[in-house]
Amino acid sequence: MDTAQQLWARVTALFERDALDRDFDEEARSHIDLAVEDYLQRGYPPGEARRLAHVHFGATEAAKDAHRDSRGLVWLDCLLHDLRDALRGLARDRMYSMATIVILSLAIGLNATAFRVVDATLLRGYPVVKQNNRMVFVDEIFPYPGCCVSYMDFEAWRAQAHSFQDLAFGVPMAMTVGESADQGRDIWALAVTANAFHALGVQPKQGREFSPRDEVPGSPPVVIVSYGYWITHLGGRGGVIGHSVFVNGAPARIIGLMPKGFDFPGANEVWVPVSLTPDLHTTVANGGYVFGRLKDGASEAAARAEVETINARRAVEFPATNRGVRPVVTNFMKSAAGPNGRVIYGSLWAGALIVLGIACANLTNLALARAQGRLREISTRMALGAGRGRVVREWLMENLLLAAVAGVLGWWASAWSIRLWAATTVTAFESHYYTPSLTAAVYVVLVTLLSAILITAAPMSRLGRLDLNGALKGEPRGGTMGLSARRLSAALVTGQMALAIALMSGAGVLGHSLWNVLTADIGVRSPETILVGQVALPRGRYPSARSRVAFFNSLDARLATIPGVTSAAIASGRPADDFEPRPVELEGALGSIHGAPVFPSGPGYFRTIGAPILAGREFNSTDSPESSAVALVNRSFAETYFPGQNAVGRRIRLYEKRNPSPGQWRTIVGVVSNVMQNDVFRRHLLPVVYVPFAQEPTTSAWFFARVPFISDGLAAAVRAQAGQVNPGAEVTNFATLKTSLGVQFGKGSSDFMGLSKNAIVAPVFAALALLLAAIGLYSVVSRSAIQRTKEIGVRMALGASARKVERLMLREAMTPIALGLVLGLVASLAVNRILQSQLVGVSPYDAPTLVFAPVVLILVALIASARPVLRASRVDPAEALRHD
Amino acid sequence: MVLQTLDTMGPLHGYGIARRIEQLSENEILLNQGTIYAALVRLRQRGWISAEWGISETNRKAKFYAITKAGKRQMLEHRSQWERLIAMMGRVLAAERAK
Repeated sequence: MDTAQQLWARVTALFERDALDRDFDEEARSHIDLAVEDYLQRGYPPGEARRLAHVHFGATEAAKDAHRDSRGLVWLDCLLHDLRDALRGLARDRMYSMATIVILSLAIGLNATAFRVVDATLLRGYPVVKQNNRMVFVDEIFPYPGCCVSYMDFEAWRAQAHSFQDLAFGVPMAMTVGESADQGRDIWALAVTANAFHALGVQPKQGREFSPRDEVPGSPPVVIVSYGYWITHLGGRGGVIGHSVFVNGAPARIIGLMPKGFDFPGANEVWVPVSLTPDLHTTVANGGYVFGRLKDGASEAAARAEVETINARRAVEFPATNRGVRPVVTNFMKSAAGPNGRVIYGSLWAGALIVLGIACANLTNLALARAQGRLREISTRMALGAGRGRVVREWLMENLLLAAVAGVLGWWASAWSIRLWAATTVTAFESHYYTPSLTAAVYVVLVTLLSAILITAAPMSRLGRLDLNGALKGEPRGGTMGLSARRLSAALVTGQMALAIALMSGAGVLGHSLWNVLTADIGVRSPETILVGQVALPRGRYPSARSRVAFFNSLDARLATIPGVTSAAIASGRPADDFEPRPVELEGALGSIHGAPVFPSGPGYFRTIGAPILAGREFNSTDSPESSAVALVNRSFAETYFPGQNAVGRRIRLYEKRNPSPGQWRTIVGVVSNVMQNDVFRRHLLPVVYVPFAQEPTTSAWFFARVPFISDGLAAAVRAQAGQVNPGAEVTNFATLKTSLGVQFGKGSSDFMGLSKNAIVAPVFAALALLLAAIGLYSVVSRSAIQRTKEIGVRMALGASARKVERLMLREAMTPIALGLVLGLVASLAVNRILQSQLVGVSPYDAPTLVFAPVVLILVALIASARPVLRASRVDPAEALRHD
Repeated sequence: MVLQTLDTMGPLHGYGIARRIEQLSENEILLNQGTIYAALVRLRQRGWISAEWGISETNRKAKFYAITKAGKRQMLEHRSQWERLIAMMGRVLAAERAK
């Protein structure tokens, strides 16, 4: 066994090769001299002494080889030798090297990016959380709308279930958080039970976790901040523990700073202790999460069974509130990426793999061409005794070198592209989720190795069939790389085309879906001439509902006075936005509780967005907190719950999320045409309830100003007026309503944005695939044209017309394409079915896509093959016959 | 064998080692003398012998090999192993003969 010392000696010996050889030569000479002297002394004649000395020494070269073998590492020596040869070979073939590096680094870069997305979204779970796969969410599905878990049920689980090591509760709360009393941002903070961080297996980087004492109502307010919050808002300075931030205008002491990257349950900046107030102790769902770590050895199924048993018991005990409440247990790994995560991110990865496949097919063709070009060299070497293994090793080495360069470039590029992807990400996945991981690095190395092997395999597998004799004589047909290689090329073109079609049709159906989402009729008239913007009021400055109403009333009034603004209004959200459905009870049908989004809107909202009132009246300024409670419903609501009757005059009442007792009765004063809410994919017009903004004011609202046409001056005036109402309240997201509802790289719903992102990325992939396939086709057709110059010459000399030659060449080029088309269409049907959950108003067998993709492909193929085909037909027969 | 030779004879050059082994084996081992250098380089890399260019008794430049401390330790270890083996073989053969 070699010791480390010996290994080192062997490695260093490689680099002192020449010096060591000289040393050995000298030693051998001295050995012979000594031997000669010895023989002379023993009485041999000089000639005989010299002869004997040499005989006894043996073959000098063999001794030298043995010397080298034992002092160095033979395989490493050979490797270095191969490496040198490979570099020389590549330097000779610059075009090949460049093309391979460019194409492969594109494909590998794409793969690295896609895999890093998959890694962050599907493989890792929530960042920093320990052992995501042992963590579960426990949710409840209620027979009436409401979200998500009852705190009382949580307490029962915590006390009675044995499968959990820790079970914690958290509820998102809207808060204004700032560094001083009168400024701050509205954010969602998570209020958690004291054991939450322990359950997640995460320790604060500085300071401490919450303690049960922090949960007691009336205890001094404390917060734990995220690393991101600390950097952005506290300047990342040391010693923040013990300092205060202002939560809803009141100081709260910072007791902990979480480690970098931790933002459970996603983009969260601040955690506060859940306050165990009496209103938590209701059995009505209160919008929280329950999450816990499974005990060692406890299975998810066991936990589910336990929770189900407990709930069944409670349903008997508290039938009024708990009957029909069904618990759901979901692993963290599954929930981290969202319900459609696998399809969204998996298809991204698959797309990248398809591009890699096309790139490899393309490069195989290139390598075949190169092998053809070097046929004579290879045959010469093999005729001189080079083994096949040796030749293969050299080619593999060259391709490995190229792939390694491409791999490094690709990895480097992925650092940029992942930032681009993260910057345009609207889901909970922020840029810090995509930190490079070992898994991703290993993946890139594997992909690199695989592509090098793939592009070496095809040309090298033909070596065995090489007819050395013919090749040496330079007969074009002698090296039978000819026909079978051409067949292989054609097969590769077919494969590329099929993959390109599959990608294109995937891109097509996704694009068509996005188009459907963006152009869906959401019930708003000409949204392109409505200016909108969002104003969020700091809670500290506007603590009462009255002060908020006063603010938005004056904003409304100011906007209406701007010359050119025909109508202005305030509402708590935009058309198509998500509103949390709330339980709605109809008078006369007590007990029948339905869920519907409840949308607070101000006077003139429907006039401004252009939704006609079908019956009754719109809200006006007389609908105030003091006046009687009223509501509007949309047509869908009226038709669903008051079929064939007049909804106006009927009464409904709404439930508060945390309050088991209903609100006051509201009289329906009007029915409005359908405006879409609560459907990210914009497919359905759901029932909606509208209440006067003045009766349910929110801290943040949107303003709407309809103008006859958009001009910069008008837009500036609206924005300026909105900003002047109060300098403390900032206008954000200012745009036309149409733009505002389009594809936006801001915050939004994950499903829609997942779709839009893939719909935008997929065409890029498809275009890249098409380009690569076109380049591949071009190179194959032009190579075939060059190889067959002589044959074409003969044909033309025998009377074939240029058109006939063109037809022949085209037919040859188009056969693999037609085959690829058919295969690709079959594959794309399968691909599109997988994408089904992401399709909006588009069937997987979307006719426009299935027509459009082949047409584009055929056009591109014709363009790619036109030049070489034309060149072939313009060959001068006399010239061609002399062609070598 | 090389170590043993160097231990008893002191520093020697390659030819000297080869001759010595031939003599000791009563010319039963007649090696290609050149191949001894491969063995020498390995021993040297393991640190069991050292090498230095010097002048031979006949005033010629030659590389002299000498055993090192590590080499001595190695040799003693091996010697005891060999001795055990020889003793064992002797017993086995004696038993065969006694049959």
